Amino acid sequence: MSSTPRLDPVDPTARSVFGSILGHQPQLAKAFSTLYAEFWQRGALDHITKETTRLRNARITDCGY
Amino acid sequence: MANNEGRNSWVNGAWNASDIASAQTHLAPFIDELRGQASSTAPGRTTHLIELQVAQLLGLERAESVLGEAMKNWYSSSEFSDGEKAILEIAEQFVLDVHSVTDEQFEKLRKYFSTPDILAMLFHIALCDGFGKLEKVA
Repeated sequence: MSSTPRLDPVDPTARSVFGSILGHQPQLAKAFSTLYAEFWQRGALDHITKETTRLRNARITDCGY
Repeated sequence: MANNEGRNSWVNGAWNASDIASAQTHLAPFIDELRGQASSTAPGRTTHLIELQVAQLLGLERAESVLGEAMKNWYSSSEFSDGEKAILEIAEQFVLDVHSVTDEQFEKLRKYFSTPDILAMLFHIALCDGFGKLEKVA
């Protein structure tokens, strides 16, 4: 997703960001959030490595979040 | 590039996130759940079309099929509806160069699908692309 979301949030008064867009598919949002939380809370990699790769990936994909 | 001969393929329905996530087994059930949600919420046969197209683009297609042959010339094929072509166009750009997806392509998508449907399809594309590329290099 680019820095400027093309999809509107499910709540028209909310800012259009990844989380508010996901509201269009609540079950999908729940599954994603659960996986994402598990990824950050556990695993073989330390947080510095995870955050470094997240930032690098965000820059390459032009992610504004 | 990794040699993928003999591996299961998610295009054949045999691929399981656990195959790739074996080193991170705590993630496997959550990956399966997310992939299941994305594939079950995408409309009509777009789920299968997206999987097939991403697999072809990444060189992961295992089984030949009539639909697979049509997919190789999807842009001019009468096998696909205009809506299906709109999502195939986005999916192709997503895999090859995500920066090249245009507003015009996105507007075309809006003509045929609701916002929830578009979200589900994009999620499915992203997951197929991500795990397909992971399979290529892991």
